[in-house]
Amino acid sequence: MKQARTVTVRLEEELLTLGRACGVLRRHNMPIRDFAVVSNGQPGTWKLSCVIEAEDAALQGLVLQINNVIGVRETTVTPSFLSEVS
Amino acid sequence: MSGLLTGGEILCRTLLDAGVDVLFGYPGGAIMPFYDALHGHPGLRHILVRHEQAAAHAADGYARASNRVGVCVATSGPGATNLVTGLATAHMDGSPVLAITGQVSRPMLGRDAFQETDVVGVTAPVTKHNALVRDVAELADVVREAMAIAVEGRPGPVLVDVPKDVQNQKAEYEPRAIRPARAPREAGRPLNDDALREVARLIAAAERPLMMIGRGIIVSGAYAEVRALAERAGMPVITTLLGISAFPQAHALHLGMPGMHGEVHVNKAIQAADVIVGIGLRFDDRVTGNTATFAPRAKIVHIDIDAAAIGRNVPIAVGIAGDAKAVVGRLLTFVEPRDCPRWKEEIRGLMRSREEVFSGGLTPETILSALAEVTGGRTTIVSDVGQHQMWVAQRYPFQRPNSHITSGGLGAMGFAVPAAMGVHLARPDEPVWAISGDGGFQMNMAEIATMIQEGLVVKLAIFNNGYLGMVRQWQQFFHGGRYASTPIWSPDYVKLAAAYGIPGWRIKSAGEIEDALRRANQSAGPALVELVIEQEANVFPMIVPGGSLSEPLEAAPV
Repeated sequence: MKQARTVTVRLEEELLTLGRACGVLRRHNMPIRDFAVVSNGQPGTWKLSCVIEAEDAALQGLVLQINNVIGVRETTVTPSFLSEVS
Repeated sequence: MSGLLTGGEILCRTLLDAGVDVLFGYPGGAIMPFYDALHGHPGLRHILVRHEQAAAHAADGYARASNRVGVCVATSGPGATNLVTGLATAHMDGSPVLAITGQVSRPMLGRDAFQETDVVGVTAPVTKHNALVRDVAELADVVREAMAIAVEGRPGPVLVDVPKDVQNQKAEYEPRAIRPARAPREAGRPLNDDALREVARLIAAAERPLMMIGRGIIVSGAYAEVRALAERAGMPVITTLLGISAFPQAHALHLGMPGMHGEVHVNKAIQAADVIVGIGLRFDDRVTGNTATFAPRAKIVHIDIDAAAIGRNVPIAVGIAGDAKAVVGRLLTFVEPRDCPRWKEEIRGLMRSREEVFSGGLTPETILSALAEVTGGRTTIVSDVGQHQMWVAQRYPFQRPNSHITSGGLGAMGFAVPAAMGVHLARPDEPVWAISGDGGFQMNMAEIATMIQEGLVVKLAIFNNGYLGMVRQWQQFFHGGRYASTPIWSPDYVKLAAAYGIPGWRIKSAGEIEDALRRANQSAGPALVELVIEQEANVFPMIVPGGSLSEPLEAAPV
């Protein structure tokens, strides 16, 4: 069943790494909303977050592929607050 | 410390210290400082190709044959963009290639300067990693890191883009070893013995077990472990296109290639199997056909170095991320000896002989048997893309590990001729045969000049049917026989060979094959053999695109 989840990617503070992580998101062609990149976490890292509505297996595959991007430190998936209130 | 060196010199020293001894490339404005430095480093042999695409394919062929990083070099703009097909090929097939590209000087970046292209942006989707070097002080470390990334985990191509002024900048060079390869995070964890016991239990309980292996076995060098597992479990082995030569074709347990042009008994065995142990393959669409109908009875075990590949295309019962050699080696300790005589008998019952009618008796079987006979199996076959590629995959009797090289995932026509140049440099003591169709050969045939100039010994076989054969076959089967733009004219290949100063033969009947192949194989330098085959020959069996492995076409649809 499709569910909205928040995908959070902690990555090196580097536009190329961000571009590659976004490239993986783009190739999967899943509906994405609430996309944000912030730099107020650990020094030298950025945090990319977005809400994706997808099947569990598809999301898991996406996370593993993002983890393969050189410069990505960690990818996590959590239930989306937005889906809980909507 | 060794005093101040230019960026170009630092690049040369870094490559030499990393063990690189050959580069494939083409000079141009933005890479000239590097070439100037190259002049003073005779330990780096530079192969001047005729097109940068060939440099990338040659580096890829070198990497696949040597299990080392292949290196290609190009200038900025068109030089760099011409590398893209070769990098994409290496990316799809997991081959470690380092591309070094010149870039416009830093003050010109982003100003649409002459021959400026954002090659880092262009190649991001087809490389594992790439980088623009912004200061000469970081140049050596960027190259070393790129080379480490190229080989670790699932290998792949990397690109380092070096602005011209960085190549001219000076800095101190400090020799340092490349850091050891790191296992990817999921594959780096200790092997889970519970998962391995579960795999062993599935194998022990199976009535119809199969093993499917891909290029991961070749990359990992897990030949002995895979063979031991197959023999201990009495489990028949299927090799994907890129897994060919990972298991001896003549072995009693070897079945053949699966998928779109897989043998009928192989695909039917997959559909009947109750357990499939897949190692070092992606279960890509050319292997599975329609995934909804793929192996409907089988519990699938998927072992791969890339955790993201596990279960991506087919549902699995057990997934293990890790290096094939380590995983299968450990799995062997849990697998009890057994045999599956009834299953093997059932598969034998599915086998059938081929009945082929080709003009002049020039069947793929005849040609490839003669080539195996002439070379005594002491050769590497580099095939291009199309019908001949499938015939080679189906019928050449590969016995030695890693003796078959082809563009599998990307399916890049034009691959064979330049890739074979790289293979020759990796394996200079044995002949290399590049087998192409008349379409793919014409894409990169200018590389014969490279072979002559650089003394590269590649034997060229051209399956000439006057068509882009695989596309024509699809037009015949699925587009009402309308041969739109697939008839293709060729030059006189024997005269072409003569123009390059190499021997050439045109073969039209079976009786002429062996003598020509033998003479070509024994000649000191490059040689060309044109095989004029049946014009409208088709590759059978065939699974229609998106179709089920259970429904092979064995004749053209009416």
